[in-house]
Amino acid sequence: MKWLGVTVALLAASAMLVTWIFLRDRHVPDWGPSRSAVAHEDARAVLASLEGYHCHTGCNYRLLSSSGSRWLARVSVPWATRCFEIDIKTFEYSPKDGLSGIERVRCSG
Amino acid sequence: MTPVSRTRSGAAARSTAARVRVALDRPRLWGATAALAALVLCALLLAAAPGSLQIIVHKPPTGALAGRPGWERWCSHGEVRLDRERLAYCARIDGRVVDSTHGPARAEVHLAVVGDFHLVIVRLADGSATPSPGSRFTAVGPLVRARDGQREVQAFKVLRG
Repeated sequence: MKWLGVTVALLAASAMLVTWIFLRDRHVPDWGPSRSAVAHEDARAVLASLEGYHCHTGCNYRLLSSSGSRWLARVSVPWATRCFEIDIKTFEYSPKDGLSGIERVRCSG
Repeated sequence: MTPVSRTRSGAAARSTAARVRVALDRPRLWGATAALAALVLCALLLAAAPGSLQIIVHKPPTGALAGRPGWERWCSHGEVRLDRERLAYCARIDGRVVDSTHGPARAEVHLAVVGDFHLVIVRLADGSATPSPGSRFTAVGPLVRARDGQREVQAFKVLRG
């Protein structure tokens, strides 16, 4: 029975080695909200900053595409439609300083 | 449950345990499996240990040649793909090919390379010849995050393999 224990221990060591190599450099998703959820929240903040929080009609936003942490958002208010590239890693909104981590881009299509 | 049936079920359990003990009592068999398991572990260690992964996180300032590795000159010999998160300016992976895949595009070739206990995906230039599994392989290129979460070297230059 001693050798059975040795066999099990060696196989477990092999499995642990393979698992460790596979996982050590792999990106583990954060437990926090998904990138998409963060992008939606940031786009809503942009919309609110353009028209205030009380716009009920003609105000909407749409996330068009993403590349890494940068998301392209089209924000529409009754008087204009604008496109922004939002970097969800650096985006911040404060009533005092306004928006940061965002860049206005041309709307295509 | 009556005392008689409790005694019977206890005896049955003891008899089952004894049968299992007898079935597992094969010292020569377990000796052989332990030797095989030791061989498997040694083979894994020998396969995963050789090689190296060197990373240059940021692009060195132009003109600063001192201390730069020779392979670094290949780091700018190509177009970095923009659809992946860039992890480092450049990396050199030296290791053993453990697997290769083609696709999703027809000419696309990916390798899984293990070296220095690191697993790195290498994307070869479209249409490149695929090294056979087990062969030693060295490539240089930007380090990005692959779609599956592993680290990926976009091979601008294959130095061996």
